Amino acid sequence: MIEIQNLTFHYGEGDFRLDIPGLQIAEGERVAVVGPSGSGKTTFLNLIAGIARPQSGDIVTARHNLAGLDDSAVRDFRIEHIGLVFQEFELLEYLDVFDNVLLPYRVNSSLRLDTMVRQRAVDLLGSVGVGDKLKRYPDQLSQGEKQRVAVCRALLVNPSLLLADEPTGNLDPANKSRVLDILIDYAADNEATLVTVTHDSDLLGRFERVIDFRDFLEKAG
Amino acid sequence: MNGILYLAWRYLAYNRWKTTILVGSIMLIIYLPVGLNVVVEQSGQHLNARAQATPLLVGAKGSPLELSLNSLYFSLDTPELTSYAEATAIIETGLAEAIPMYVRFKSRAQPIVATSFEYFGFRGLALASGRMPALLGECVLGAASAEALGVGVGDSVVSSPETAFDLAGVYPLKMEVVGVFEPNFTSDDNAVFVDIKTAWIIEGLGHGHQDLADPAATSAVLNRTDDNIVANASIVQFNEITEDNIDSFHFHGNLDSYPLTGVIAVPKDEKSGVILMGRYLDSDANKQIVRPRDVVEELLDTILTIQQFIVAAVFIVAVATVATASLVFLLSLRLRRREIDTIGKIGGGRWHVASMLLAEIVIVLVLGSALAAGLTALTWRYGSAVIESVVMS
Repeated sequence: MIEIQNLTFHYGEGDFRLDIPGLQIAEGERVAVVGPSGSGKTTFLNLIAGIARPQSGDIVTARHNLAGLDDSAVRDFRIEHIGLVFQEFELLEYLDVFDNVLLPYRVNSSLRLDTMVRQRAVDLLGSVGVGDKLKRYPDQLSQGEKQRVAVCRALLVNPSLLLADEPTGNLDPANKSRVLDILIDYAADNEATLVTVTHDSDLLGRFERVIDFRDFLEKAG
Repeated sequence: MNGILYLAWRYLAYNRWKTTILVGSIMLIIYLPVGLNVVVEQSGQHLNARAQATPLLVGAKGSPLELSLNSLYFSLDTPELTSYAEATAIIETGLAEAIPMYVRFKSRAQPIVATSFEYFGFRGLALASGRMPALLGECVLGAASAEALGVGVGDSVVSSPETAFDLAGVYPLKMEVVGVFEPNFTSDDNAVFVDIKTAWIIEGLGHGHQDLADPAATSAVLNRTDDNIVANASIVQFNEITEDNIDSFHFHGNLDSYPLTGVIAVPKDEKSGVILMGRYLDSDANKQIVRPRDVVEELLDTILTIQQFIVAAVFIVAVATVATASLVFLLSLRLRRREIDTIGKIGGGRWHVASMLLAEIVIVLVLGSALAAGLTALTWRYGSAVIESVVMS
């Protein structure tokens, strides 16, 4: 469950300003976020994940009011509850597929990397069709394979909230469908909430609700 | 912590060329001054020890350094030649013992050191096998020389021509190895020791040939009188001294006029040494007496000065290298902005990212330092051998 009340956000400089008087996303809901470029969709995901902090207002994500948490607590919260998928995949070029998926466990000491986690990574990669490419590096993968690996990285921590920022933006139609299937299937199987930013109107039918950010965008001056 | 080190290592391993260049640069800026210091220190010890153990050197006027390097370290840069009469003259003063040295020829890369029996006692050389040379054409090898030539007692070695194209020059003499010395970790280890007269035979000042009274040699005789026989070049010259032909070897002229490269003078006491030096300093004759330790100290002063210049240059290069490496690192931080952001978004804190970057720097520094330490250890171990070969060449 995500609940937003009287949220205002703007960057230090520039005329961008995001105002969300109130917004709720139910637990297990699959939501698509649409809107023109610069309307604040990615900022919205960053606010929900605690990566960006609002100037005012409350964000309650997975029963945690992020406004009351310090940076370290927000990071722990994010590791425990949120899986992030990016448009540009954001795989580390110097890690092979297997190590890229295990990355959350390597960068945070609160997560324990053990045999079970490794096996789960192998299983996840197998389930998305890259199980035979564990030792490949990102530059040896196709775009679709890269995004499937990035999705596995997001799913490894068993998140209750999946935030995907244009996850199909750089993919061909076949891979778009496949990646979205993986995200939606995971959300359905685990009763996880899925919030996906997308520009692709063909995919909107796969979501339960569409939030249009033109409603929240306000240009100063 | 393991995760931090693992990621740092993976980054460095993936960017192996960049890492290699950085590690190599760190290694060089550490090793160059340290290694140079080791080499200079070892060369100082090496040169000094030998010089301290050699009280005085007498030779023809010329470069004291050449005379010292030739007589002490068997450098094949031959100094101006003196004569055997110099050794006799020193003995006749009663002030010092004289050890003649003639270091001019070589057997492959090993110097042939012609000297007297007293030299072995003076340097404390002990036999590992065989015996001391007693006859013309016999030699005793230093330990490293025996190893380099691959010979032992009962084998033979051959002197090398001075130049390959000088047909009229020194011809090879085959010499029997009668002993091998224990190593004493000085230039002596690399030498082939022979009697002075054997060196004169190598030079052609003494020789052995077919008996001209032998009927088989008649065709070579050009002119025969009661007191002289003149033969042509077809006479058979011996290039090996054996029991059968040793009696035919002979020297023409006065041995006192035969050449030496130097004479080691071992004064009976300090006062005798001073008196002996005084006599040479007062003399206008074409000869010199030097105290090897003074010559070596002068040489080391020059080396130290050069070392200081090199260290100063290395320091400037090191500053430039560190500045360049820092610039590379800062630029790579900009290039890695997205990677750092990604790590932050998926749960890595600032401390974690900073630790990872720091770990990369530390690994590069540790690898560079370890390699520099390894090279320094190798220099420490083999520095003497390198100095030896430099001095010899």
